Amino acid sequence: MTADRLRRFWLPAAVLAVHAGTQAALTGSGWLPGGFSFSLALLGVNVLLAAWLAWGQAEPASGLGFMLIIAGHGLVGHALSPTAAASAVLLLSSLLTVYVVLKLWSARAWPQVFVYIASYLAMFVLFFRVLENAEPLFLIALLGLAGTARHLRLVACLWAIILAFTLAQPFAWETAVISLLILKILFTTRMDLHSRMTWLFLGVGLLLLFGVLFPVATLIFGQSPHNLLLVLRDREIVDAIGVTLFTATVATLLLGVIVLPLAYAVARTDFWGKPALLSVIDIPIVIPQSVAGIALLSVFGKQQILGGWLFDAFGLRFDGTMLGIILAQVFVALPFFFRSALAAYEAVPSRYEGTARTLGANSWLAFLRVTLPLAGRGLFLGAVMAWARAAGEFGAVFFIAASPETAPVAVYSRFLSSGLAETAPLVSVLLLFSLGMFFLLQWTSRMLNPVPQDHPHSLPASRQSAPGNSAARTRASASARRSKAAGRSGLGSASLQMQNLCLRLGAFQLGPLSLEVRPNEYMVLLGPTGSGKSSLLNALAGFHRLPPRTVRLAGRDVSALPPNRRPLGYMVQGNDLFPHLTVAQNLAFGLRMRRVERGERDRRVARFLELFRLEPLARRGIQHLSGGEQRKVALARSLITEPELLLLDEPLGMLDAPGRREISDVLRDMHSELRTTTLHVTHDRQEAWALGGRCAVMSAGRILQVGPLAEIFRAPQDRFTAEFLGGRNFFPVDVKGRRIRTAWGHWPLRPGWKAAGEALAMVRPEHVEVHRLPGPGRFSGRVTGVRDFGAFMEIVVALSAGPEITAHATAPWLVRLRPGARAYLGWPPDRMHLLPGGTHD
Amino acid sequence: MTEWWQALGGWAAEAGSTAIAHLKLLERALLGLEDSYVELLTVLALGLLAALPVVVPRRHRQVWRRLTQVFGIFIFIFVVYTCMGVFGMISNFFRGFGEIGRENILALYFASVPVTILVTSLLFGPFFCGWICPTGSSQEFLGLLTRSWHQRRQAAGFPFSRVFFIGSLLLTAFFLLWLYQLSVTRIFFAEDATVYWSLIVVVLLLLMSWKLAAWDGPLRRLKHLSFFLVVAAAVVHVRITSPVHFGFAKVVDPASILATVIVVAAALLLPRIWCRYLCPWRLAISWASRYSPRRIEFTAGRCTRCGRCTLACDIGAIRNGVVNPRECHMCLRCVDLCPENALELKEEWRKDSEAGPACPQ
Repeated sequence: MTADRLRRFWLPAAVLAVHAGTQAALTGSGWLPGGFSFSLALLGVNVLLAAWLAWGQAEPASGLGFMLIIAGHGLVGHALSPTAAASAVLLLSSLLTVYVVLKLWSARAWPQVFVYIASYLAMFVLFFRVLENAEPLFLIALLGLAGTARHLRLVACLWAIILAFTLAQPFAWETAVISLLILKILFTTRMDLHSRMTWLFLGVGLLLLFGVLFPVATLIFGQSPHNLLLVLRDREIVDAIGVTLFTATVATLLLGVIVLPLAYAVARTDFWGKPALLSVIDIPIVIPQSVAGIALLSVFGKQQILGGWLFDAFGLRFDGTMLGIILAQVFVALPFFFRSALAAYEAVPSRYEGTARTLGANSWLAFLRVTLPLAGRGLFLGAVMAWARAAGEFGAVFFIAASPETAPVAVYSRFLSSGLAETAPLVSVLLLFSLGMFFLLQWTSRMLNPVPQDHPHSLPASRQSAPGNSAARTRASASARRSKAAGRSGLGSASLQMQNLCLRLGAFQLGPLSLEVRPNEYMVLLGPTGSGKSSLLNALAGFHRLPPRTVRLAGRDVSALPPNRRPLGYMVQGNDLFPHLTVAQNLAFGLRMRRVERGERDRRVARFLELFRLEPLARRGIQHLSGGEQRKVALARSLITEPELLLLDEPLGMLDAPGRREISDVLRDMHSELRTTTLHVTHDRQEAWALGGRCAVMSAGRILQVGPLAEIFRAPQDRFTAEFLGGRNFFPVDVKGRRIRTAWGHWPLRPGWKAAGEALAMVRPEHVEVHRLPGPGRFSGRVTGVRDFGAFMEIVVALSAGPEITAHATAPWLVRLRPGARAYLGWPPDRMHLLPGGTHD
Repeated sequence: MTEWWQALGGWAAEAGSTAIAHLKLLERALLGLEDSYVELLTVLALGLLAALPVVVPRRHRQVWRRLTQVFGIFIFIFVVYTCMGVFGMISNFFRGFGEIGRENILALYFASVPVTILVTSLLFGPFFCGWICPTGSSQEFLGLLTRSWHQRRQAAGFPFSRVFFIGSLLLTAFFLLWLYQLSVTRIFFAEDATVYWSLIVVVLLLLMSWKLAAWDGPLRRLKHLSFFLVVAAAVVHVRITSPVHFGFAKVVDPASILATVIVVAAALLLPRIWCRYLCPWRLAISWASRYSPRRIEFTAGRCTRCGRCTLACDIGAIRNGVVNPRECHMCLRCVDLCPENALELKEEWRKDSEAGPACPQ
């Protein structure tokens, strides 16, 4: 007898035999007098089981266990619930129970098996011992357990529902909804650092929080819809709701007129007493509402001075009128709106406005087109908060005008006249209503999300064709496109002259400096961090007040012009692309501000997108761009308005190496095509070398030297410039006749040089030669430092009679050089450079 | 030996008569609505039917499915078409939970059918939709007539079809005429919500004559709307009559018959249109079967892109061999038709992801 035969034939037969025996025993003992359906069902189940075994889908050994458990269940269930059909349900539950536990067992999911069995026992105790007449519920719970057993989280949710509906009975729905919410939050919590403590705090905190909010939930669930509808038929209530809606809306609009400009001004400025002003605005939160009501009444009441005057002069009456209600609501809601608006404005960096100004927007347009859209959502939320506060105000409103009744006042008078039970439906209606309004408005504010969504499906088809082009072809076609674009655009280009430009910024003094950038020139302004480069650009762009006749553009004095009227493009440091606009809209911004008509604007945007190869990104939001792409867009945006001068502030900063290479290529190509006069500010010498052109070195607010970079490099005029461009090894010398002299050596003066007296000599480390042996023109010394830089070795040698000299050398033997060893240094005399400035340090 | 046979024959005759007696008992139980035997027996039948797809052999699985569907129609004609309807199951669910603590036995009666459907979906996947649901089955059976036409349309990417458009117009005309007849004869209840569902079906069909390929996905979200409408109505005890619900024991409801006929007839033009776009239970079942250990797995390496599975799927849940579990009805036609076994029914009872992130091996 093979195992297969055993499984296919004998086991099903045994199952059927056991069934027959059980059936006989049940009938014989009188357990099943009328339970025909039950026995029929039992038969059906067993046939099914046998078939299942026969097809080999279940483990053979499980068959008998199955049978026994089912039979036992059937017996218990039959004793508990004598109707045949209820037994049948129990049978089904048992079947699923056994099926699930067997499956979990064979999958070795031990935690699930343990939770399953423990839950089963706990349910048994709960429904048979703790509760009365709850056996039918046991069946439902058992079905639920079978369904959820594989997921411990689902089991937890099931238990939350079971406990809510059995133990928390009058508040079952509320408890169930709240506990399911808490569980959902806990199960979806993500943490940077996994910590059970945080998780526990979250759980306990949520539990307590929902405990506080529990009255709201009971009010929502506690009333039948019928009662609520009855409330809505009450004329007084409908009137009260109408009054509340009207007054709260008017109060919010009034507040908007007060708060929106004021909060903007406060967010953008700093002045004496600003903290005090902020505290004053918070006063309505601090004082009791009834006090506020009395205070308002004592000023605006008809008998009072101001109120009486307003009534006499304009016929405005506040006490007991709608006007008074609005006044009270404005008073109490003011801080809520103001604080939110302030936070919303402060969240919008002012650099966006600055950029908008350089793109041609006056300050009003910059506020309207940039700040307002970006802060819009926060402002709207502030308005929603204010509206909710105004609609819910009781104290202040009650004292200044108890009639016409607003909804909160109506609740109060209803409570006084009829008591708690009568007021509850009204309160529920108001609660549902205000919650509904609140969440509707909150939801609306989501629609105000200014960030454009990326629509990958709606991108132009050209995106797909981008890869696969050979580099040469793209380059050629791009340059062809560029020359076409440049030919059509006819960009103007002007010279920039700075004459004794002088600016004081706190402790920092910029200038006085004079510099000229010639038409079509690409000038690099090189200087260390803090040397005033960015301040200079800001001054040129018009963000600082300058003395007249200090800046001329194409011969025209622009010193007094505001940023939006200066014909220049300014690409500031870092990303300043408008996050609420797409790439194409960012490009179009400057043209819109300069009132370029729509057709021309679209044409120009399309041309620049093509020029910078940005077409595939045209409809993307800014946050979906890489750093390099952002720079390209920013560059295109500052060039699209055809400026006479382009100011670039660290355009390659904060990019990775390939990004820097790409953008510096783009910059060079763009300049060779468009020929816009450009002032490029950087602190990076490599960048200056890569871009070529004339260069100005700046330090501490002053221009030190101007000229082609190679010239400055070879002949720096002072020690700072020399050091900034990589110069080392400075030592004082005395020039007498045609010789350079020091205490430890002398060299001939290079032909053509004129110098006399004290001077500072410099030898670049790469020109210093290191030798093992003494010789003519070599100076002996001891090695004090050796560092391996891979491409060269840096050797520091303290000369016996002179200064410390650093050498960058590549000879192979240097690798074995150790500090303390003796070495001999020398350099060709014509590699020595004399700084005319003398020994100023 | 002979008497042994005789005894066996006698036993067989007795067993036969007992079985008939049992059937009569069953019938009595089904007719005795006031005892709510219907629900309980339905639960049992549901459980057994849901277990069936697990048990039947793969070789003739689709035959078994057809049998189950026929059986489902007969069993559920009593439940779905007589006392509850699709929406009734949702409102009964809430009513049952509301009875907990007051009349627990009532709670069992009302909640048992919906709970059983949810639990079997949690355990076995959305088999209810593909194997049992009478509404789905009747749509599928009628849709068999036009299946090959629909498949040709699908292979062509659902171009505009004059036949489809004319069919939709005809169905619309049929709907309007019937509605007119109902309103004239005054049997029709104006407040009966079912008419709106058939109206939606007709409008859907007209839309779909042009935009089936583009709007199929977005319009499937109508199920959410439908679900929340019905749940909201159930919570505030407003009764929304289900479109497939016409034989209510005492009240003849011709509007429901109209809706049922429209839904089933629309399946001629668009297979399982009700399940695709409107069925609120479909949403609940697809939620529950997200947690099921049984799912259809796709092995990309074996796939030859013959496209049979995509064409076989009535519900349009398969794209490039990958079955969308949110839409799948687990009819398993794709699994049975795949010549390369690229689609397989898999079962995984151990859930390791709950323990934490899996360690890379």
